[in-house]
Amino acid sequence: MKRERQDRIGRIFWGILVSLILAAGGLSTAAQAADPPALEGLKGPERKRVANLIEGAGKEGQVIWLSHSVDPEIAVRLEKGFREHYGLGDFRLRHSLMRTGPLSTRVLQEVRAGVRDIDIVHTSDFELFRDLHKRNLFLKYDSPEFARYDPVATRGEGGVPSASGYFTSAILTYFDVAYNTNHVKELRTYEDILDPRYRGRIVVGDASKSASHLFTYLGLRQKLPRQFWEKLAKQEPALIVPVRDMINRVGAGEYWIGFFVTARHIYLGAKRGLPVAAKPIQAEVGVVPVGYIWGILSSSPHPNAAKLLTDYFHSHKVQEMLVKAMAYTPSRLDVGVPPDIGKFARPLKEIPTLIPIPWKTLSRKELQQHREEFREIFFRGR
Amino acid sequence: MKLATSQSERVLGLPLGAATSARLRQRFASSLPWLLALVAGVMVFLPLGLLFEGSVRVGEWEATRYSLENYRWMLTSGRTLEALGNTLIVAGGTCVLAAVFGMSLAWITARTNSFARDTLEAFNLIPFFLSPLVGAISWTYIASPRGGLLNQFLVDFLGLKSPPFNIYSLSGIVWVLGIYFTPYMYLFTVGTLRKMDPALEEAARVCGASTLRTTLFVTLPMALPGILFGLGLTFISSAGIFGVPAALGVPSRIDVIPTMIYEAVSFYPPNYGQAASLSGFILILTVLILMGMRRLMARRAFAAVTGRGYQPHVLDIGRWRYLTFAYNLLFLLAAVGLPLGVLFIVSLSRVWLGHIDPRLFTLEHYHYVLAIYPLTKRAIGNSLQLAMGGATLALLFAFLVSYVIYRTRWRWRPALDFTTTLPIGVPGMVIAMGVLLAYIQTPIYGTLWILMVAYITHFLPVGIKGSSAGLLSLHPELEESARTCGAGWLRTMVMVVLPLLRPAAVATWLLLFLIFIRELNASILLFTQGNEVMSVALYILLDDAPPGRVAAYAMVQTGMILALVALIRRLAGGGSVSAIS
Repeated sequence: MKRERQDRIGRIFWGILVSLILAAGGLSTAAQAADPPALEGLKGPERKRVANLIEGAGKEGQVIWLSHSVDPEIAVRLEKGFREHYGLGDFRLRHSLMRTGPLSTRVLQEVRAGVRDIDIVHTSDFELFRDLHKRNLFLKYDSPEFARYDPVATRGEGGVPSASGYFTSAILTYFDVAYNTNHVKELRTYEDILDPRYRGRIVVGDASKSASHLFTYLGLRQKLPRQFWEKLAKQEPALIVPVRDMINRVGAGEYWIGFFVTARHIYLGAKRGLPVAAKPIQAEVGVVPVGYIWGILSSSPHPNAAKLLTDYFHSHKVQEMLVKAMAYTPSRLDVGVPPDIGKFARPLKEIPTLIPIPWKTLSRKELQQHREEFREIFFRGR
Repeated sequence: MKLATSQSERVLGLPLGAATSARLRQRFASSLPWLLALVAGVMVFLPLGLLFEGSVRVGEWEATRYSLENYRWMLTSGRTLEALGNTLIVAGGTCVLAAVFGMSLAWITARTNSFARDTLEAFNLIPFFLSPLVGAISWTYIASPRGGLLNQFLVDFLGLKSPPFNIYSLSGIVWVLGIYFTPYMYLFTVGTLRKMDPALEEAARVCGASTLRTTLFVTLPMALPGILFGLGLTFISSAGIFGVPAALGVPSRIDVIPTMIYEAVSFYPPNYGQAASLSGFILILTVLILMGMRRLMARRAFAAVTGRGYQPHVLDIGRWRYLTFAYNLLFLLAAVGLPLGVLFIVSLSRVWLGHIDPRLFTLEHYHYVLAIYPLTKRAIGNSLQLAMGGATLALLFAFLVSYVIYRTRWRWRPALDFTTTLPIGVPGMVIAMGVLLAYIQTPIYGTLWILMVAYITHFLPVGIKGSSAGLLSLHPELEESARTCGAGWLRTMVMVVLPLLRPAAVATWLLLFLIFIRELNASILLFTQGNEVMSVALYILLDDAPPGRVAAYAMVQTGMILALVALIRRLAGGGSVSAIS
């Protein structure tokens, strides 16, 4: 009797132990089987594609992204969101914010030296993209997200720099005129700026030292004759490059008018409490859309991560966040612009006139000629 | 260098093991100058050589060829010649202003019983702690013709018709740089004045010379090494600074050579050839100044600190001590109080509207830069590592080079001196370009090490002249006495020379530390993601952040540096941090 009881206890014990082991294995399998949000709802080849990219990105562990337009605090949010979306807990999004010129210089230097230290280039300097593309230095990646974009941004139509699958201008901005509402009642047209009251009270973006300002000058020059610019030069404006610096000075009242200030910076300045407003877009003149161009280098050391970040950055969720946080002009067709932002940074389709820059054919010599013309007008007699 | 030879040790009855080690020491000692020359040569001439090669090359990508096109452009461009003229005005004006302030304050501190001179001494160095770029930004809030607080005050309360100051001018640039370089002149003058043998001054006074006459014809000439070096360094450095002319000159279309160099490399496509040819201007200036200084100092003996004991002479200036105190305070108000005060107010302002509004005061900007923004947090650690490590390595190397140049009879001393002094005349961003070209395909690219190489290459001359000024002040008889008593070279260094050099060594290390911790010109071209330093973080904030955040980070940087300097002074034994000359 005693022996039978012992055998029964032993069998119960081992049964419980085996059950526990099996249950733990089952739980583990269940845990492994939970999809990251990026894979939820995906099936077939698309699921396999994304799953492969996630696996590859996980092994790569990081992506290196040079940008001249996305603030680091936004990059921190993107990193957190990226990790959650793709289930990559340790993934590092190594983002650097740089001015366009030094960024382009860095990319060129590393590409020429064969150094593989950059995955994604994100800037408005189309010359750099054009030169690298000519030498097949961009990785072709046609993200499925691009299908939801205005062809202006993804296929090079409409004068916005892009080349299908190689680089795109997912987010745009345009340069406008900002004014301090404490000192200027209203500005309606470019000619209003020529009022003698504003002499010495204007700051202009220096197109001789900045690619974005140069492209905008080039575009507006097609609509505003040389006479206008010469009269503007007689207003004795200061010339600086950083747009944020311009809006800060206009907001502080040091200058009353800022020429070549991005629409989004006017909005962000007003949001911070600066007494600034934007001159409305004149339909007969229009604006020059400046694309923030995104491309993956063919020498990318982390190609899977770069492709995944491309998908993520161009997704509806992120584009919507960028519009709300940074007041970019979206080129994604299903992303709207909230009314309070839209007063300053209008959506692409609502802009009455876009002045296209012939970026594909514009030669370096022509760019240099425009730069020299700007210098001649604004630096004359100094 | 004289060392015990194996022959000598046999005579002294020492075991052969000691003779062997003595032979090894001797071999090392004779190889040391060559080793130093090799390291210095690679550090200096590799980047400069690559830059020169770039300056005679035109074209892009594969289609490049050798040509003198860049030099032809440089010599025929009206804009370049105007920039050269502006550069000379800025450098010359800065020298004059820094010399007037620096030397007068040094004399007041070291040689008079001016009221509270010891207390004020530490404050006199504060302008040096501010990043020159941030100093320029501060002064735009103070003396901008349209929105400057000082101008507003003078117009509103004194009824002036128009603002009296315009910081966006050549004189504005000279003012900011003059204040920034005053501590250089101060440091290089005050140390020598303190350690000077008073016998000559006493002799002059006994012969009936007045205080002023004694100061002008005895004291200051004896302090000439430090003064000359300070002036040379000020001229060369101010001619190569980018940040201040960029902030104050560019809006008014005032070009100087460094801003033109930056334009050449920061606009796509970069033109390194033009940038390198432009740097030739400053290089030629450097060579001429260095040659002049060497010629002048070679003719005279400047041993002011000897083996004999002495008491530094302090002049009793009677009631004038309150006037000198007031003068020192006025300088501090203009150079420190106003800029830091305005910076602090802006850092507390949620938005800067051009006037002070306490209702807008907040600490959110400090919270942002210290607790939220990863870049600013990371940059603090990077800067500390670079500054401490770099200053230590640079000082070590500099001391060895200085010793070879000024205490040995090695045949190639002049060449070593020239090689190690040359980089100070090359703008920081040009050095950075050369370093980038030289090391971009090496493992140090993308790390803090490439920054350290650029820093040490560029500022080694500061370390060398700091060390050498200290060595020159020590009469060789002190070492000879030790050697006569049987001490070897190393023992003499450790027991005699280094203790006497300690104040100069601490001051030089501090100077290097301060230079490294706020260096921008080279850092802006060499940083990559993850190895940003504080100056780069500040530059990024300047471009794309509200003034409050910029000011807050500038205050954090300044406060951190002040605290570190105070700590290091306490650890080094207090006293005046002015022993460089």
